Amino acid sequence: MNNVQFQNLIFADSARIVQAITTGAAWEIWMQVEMVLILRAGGLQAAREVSYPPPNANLSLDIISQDNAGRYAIELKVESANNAGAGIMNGINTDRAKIALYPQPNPGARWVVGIGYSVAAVQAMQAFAQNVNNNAIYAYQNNLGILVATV
Amino acid sequence: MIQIDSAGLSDIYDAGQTVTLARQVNQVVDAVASPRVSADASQLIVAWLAFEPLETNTIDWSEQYYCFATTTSLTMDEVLEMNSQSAAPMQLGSVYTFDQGQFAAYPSSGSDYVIYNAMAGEYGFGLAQQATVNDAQVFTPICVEPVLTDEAAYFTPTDQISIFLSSASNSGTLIPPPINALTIDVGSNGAVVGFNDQTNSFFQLS
Repeated sequence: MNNVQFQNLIFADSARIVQAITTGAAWEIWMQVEMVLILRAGGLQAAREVSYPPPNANLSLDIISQDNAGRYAIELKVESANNAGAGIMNGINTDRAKIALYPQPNPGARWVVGIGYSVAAVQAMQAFAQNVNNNAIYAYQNNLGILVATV
Repeated sequence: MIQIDSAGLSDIYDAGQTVTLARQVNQVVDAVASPRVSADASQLIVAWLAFEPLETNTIDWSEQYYCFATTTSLTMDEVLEMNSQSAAPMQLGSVYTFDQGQFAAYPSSGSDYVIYNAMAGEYGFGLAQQATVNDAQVFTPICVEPVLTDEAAYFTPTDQISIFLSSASNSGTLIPPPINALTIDVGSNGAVVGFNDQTNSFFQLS
């Protein structure tokens, strides 16, 4: 799986995600569970809340996934009441620094996924992805903006 | 520059107090807002600079910040010890990960100074800044925030400086927010401050 395929898997579930957003705050945990289901439905193995390897076993990885092509370490950041608007980039940047502590899967990838819906959030994520140094892709469909940053 | 007349100096020394400066820093831990130098008496602030005054006091500082971690209890009258600190000034927007007892910078872009705790347990994280007080160099904390494992703190220093008298004898002491502070917006031009020995408060001259 590459980053575009991963992004498209999430977009395929956008109707449910938009419904979840309307429930209000604290939907990140729901999104973690949903992401595992999305990946499994796509034919990948997936589990959530997996400890980082030592010496960072105190940290927890949102999602680990695997297919025949490799393993994928994933941190997830969604726009919520706590990081609404452009504030989502704070969380995404922090998750990028965090996942850099996770050993690089080989083969595989380390991804930070950002999901936003407000104008400020989608603009911030789009601007982030336009900087090639950030090694990220961004797309907007069905009222959702999804950023996948490779670390 | 802070100017204090003879009567004012006598009052301050007789009371065993110091001239104290605090910087207002907007600080947030994982999006839980926690502004300091506020009227909320339940929150402590950091006495950035606390010194025994002369008649004319000149204070300079550079707008460069270092991050630090402390195990000092974040309670009143404690003096923050910087147990670990970044080797170089922080870059705005980069995330500074505290791991294996030290800081490592992860380049990024943003408008805050960000510190992420990758270590087990709670640490106090904050920014420290170099300053010169009457030609003596000091390097002291300006703010602190308790941060748990897998949390990040976001700091944005402002140009707002509070000047007041306190019983803090050391820079970096945790104290209650002052009631009668003069808060000024110190831009690139600086400011001149006087002291009223009748009200024991500071006022801005220019």
